[in-house]
Amino acid sequence: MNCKTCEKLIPLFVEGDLAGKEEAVKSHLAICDRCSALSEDFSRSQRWLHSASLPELDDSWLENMRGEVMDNLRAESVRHSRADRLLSASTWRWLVATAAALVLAILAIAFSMRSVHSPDQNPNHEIQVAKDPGEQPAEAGPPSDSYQPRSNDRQSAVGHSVKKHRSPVRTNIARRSVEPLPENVIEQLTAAEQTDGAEPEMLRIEMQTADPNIRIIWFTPKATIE
Amino acid sequence: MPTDFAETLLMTECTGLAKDETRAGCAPGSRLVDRAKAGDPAAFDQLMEMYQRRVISIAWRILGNKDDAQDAAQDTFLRAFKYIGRFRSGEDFSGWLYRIAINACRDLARKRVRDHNSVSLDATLEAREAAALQSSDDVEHSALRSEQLAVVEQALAQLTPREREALVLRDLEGMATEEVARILGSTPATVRSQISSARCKIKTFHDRMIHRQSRTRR
Repeated sequence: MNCKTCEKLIPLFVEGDLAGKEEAVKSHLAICDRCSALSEDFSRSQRWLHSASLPELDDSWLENMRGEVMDNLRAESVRHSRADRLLSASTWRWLVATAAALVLAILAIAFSMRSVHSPDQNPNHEIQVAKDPGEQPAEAGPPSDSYQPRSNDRQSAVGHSVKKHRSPVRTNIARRSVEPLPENVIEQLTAAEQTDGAEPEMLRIEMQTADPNIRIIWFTPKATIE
Repeated sequence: MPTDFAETLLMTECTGLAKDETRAGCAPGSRLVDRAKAGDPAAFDQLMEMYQRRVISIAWRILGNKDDAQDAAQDTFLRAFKYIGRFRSGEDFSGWLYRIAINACRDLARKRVRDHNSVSLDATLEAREAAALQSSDDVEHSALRSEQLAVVEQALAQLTPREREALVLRDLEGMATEEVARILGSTPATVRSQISSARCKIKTFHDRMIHRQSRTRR
């Protein structure tokens, strides 16, 4: 063992806190005067530390302190027992209040769920666009995923089928598209329809909006574009 | 009561140890703990009587003055009574209690720091006060002892709180390193490191003090 290692171990060695290395330190101290002197210095400072004992505590002082603790404990237990009594008296009140709160909460949840599923907000609900500007949009039946024009049904051939969505933004878009078509477009469409009486050749037009979830698709007779 | 009589008998059989240790180290301690756990205040009072000196001593060494030590000791026993239900029978009650005492001291020390109280000044004043109280037979001896206590308190004030706790429990209360580690919620290796560092600081303080004294004599 060298002096550097020994110096580190001496503070523990002087009070017997070295486990297993005591013999190594002892043998080094036997041959090294400097480390031996350091060990003696540590021993002296430790003796000095132990020499300062606390003043003897007076029995009456200790009894007094214990008495204060017991008084505190008694006061605490009285407080607790009072609290327990109060709790038992108000248990029924608590139960009634909790039950009332629960009923109110259930009612509130039911009401909010009902408003969510109201027909106005049904995403599957369809509104047909009126042909004439003065005509109000009429509510249609179940939705159809694909567009199927029928030659005899001018309303469905001319009109648009618009799906309403939950999102307020989408709803706004849908409402905007419900506005009646301009008069000249309707006239052109009618004229194109009357020319041959056959099913008009349809043109599919798609528009991607800024919102990736919204794509506007509509079909129009080719004649109206030409 | 027969139980109390048996306990008293066992207590008196434990001789050769300090007053607190005598009763704490014997079987009645655990029986008293069980009774205190069951809510018997008399049993808890007896437990307090057993451990109060040691708890106050630890608190005094850590906090540096008697008043704070008294506050910490009272807080320790109040907490012990409150949480004694959580103490598992068969475990080391004294270790559990000293751990509570250390926590109470830490809380009080934090409070004192907030209140901007100087610990070393308090300790010096307290030591003088203690000397005045102790001056029944030998005034000179008491004064010397109180002065020594004040200087040691100044030396302890050089340590970090953790070093001080470890040194107080190991060197001044004479506990084993493993026991100190359990009380402080640490490992024996950490405690050894803290003790080593603390002893180095105490030695430096002591060397300076001796150097100053020799210079004054000249």
